[in-house]
Amino acid sequence: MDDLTFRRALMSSPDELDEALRKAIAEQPDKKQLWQEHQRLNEKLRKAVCVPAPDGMRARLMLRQTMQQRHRSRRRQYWAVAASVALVSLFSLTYLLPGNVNLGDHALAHVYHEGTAPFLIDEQVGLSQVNAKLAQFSGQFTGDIGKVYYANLCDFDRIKSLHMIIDGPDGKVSVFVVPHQAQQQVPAYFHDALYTGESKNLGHASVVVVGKSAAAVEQALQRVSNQLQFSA
Amino acid sequence: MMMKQRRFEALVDAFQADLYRYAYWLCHDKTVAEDIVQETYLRAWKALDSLQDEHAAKSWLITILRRENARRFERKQFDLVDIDDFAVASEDGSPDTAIEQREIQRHISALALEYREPLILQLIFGLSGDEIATQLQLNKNTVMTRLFRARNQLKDALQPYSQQGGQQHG
Repeated sequence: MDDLTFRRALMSSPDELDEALRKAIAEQPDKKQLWQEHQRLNEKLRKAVCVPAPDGMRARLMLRQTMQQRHRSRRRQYWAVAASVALVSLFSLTYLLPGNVNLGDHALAHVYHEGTAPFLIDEQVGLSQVNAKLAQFSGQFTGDIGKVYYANLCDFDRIKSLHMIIDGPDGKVSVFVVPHQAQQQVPAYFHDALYTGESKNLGHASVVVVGKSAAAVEQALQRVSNQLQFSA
Repeated sequence: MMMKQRRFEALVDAFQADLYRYAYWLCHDKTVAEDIVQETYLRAWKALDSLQDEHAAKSWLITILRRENARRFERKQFDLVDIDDFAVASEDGSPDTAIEQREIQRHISALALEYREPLILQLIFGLSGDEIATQLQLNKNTVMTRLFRARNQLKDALQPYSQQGGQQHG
């Protein structure tokens, strides 16, 4: 190996010695000396570039990463809250817009919402008064439906409906006459721990009855639907 | 998450000092160097899942750091620090060595970046010619030539110190 190649190799990469270089160093004292000189220079260079890292840099790196992580998890929390709000809004919208909710559930919710108040009053509503309200949906009762304690047009899942409290065989029951809207679902039977409900589709509207006993509900539903007619 | 945290801490412990040194020799400014290291580790944390092979961690971090350094120039061109202004604490206590080391540092700083960077990668991270070529996207011959020139310039510049050292020890 000539001197220039040897020097060049040592100068470019003194730690990467190939077989020819190692052999030259082992066999030729002048090359060994040259190699040692380069090793010394390299060691000095290595020491010179090894500037100390600033005190506390590790702690600052960890802190920054922790803050970043917290920031991201906060951002995730914000997103989660935003998603929840969006979800609640979606549900509220579904709830507020007519037709997309199960009317059985809504009937139960309505009964709970009004509480005992309608059950305590007796407005002695006559059939003509009820029919006056029903006329809004082009409907009327053609015959007696028993004692009506209360009758009012109310908002039933955003659908203007007739809400009545009538007498049943073993206590009062709630009756809703709900004009049909697109996409509304009215299950034939529904219940929860306290109330049971039944409905009947009469074409233009559904009659929904909610009470505490299935027998009373069924009987009231029959009685009401048998007398109810729609003109259009 | 704990696993990721432990991996991250291991990367910090293993490479933070060397990455700082590398950054320092790229920018010649202690504060900027630490900023670059901070940004590098922040990027590393975000992308940690993409690091599959722990053996590749060193070159992975070097790549991120180089990118962060380049980004710094995209944002703002920093004024170069006057070489005489910067002082780097010596890790060796002897005053003669400290003076010599400062002189070496001054000359390293004076090297053109194209010579300085491969030299720093070699000295600090112990990268081979091939690894430096990959990292800097150069061919190996170019890298070896630049390394040769870097050392040659330093050798010439430091000749008096070498002779002095030789006399002292001889």
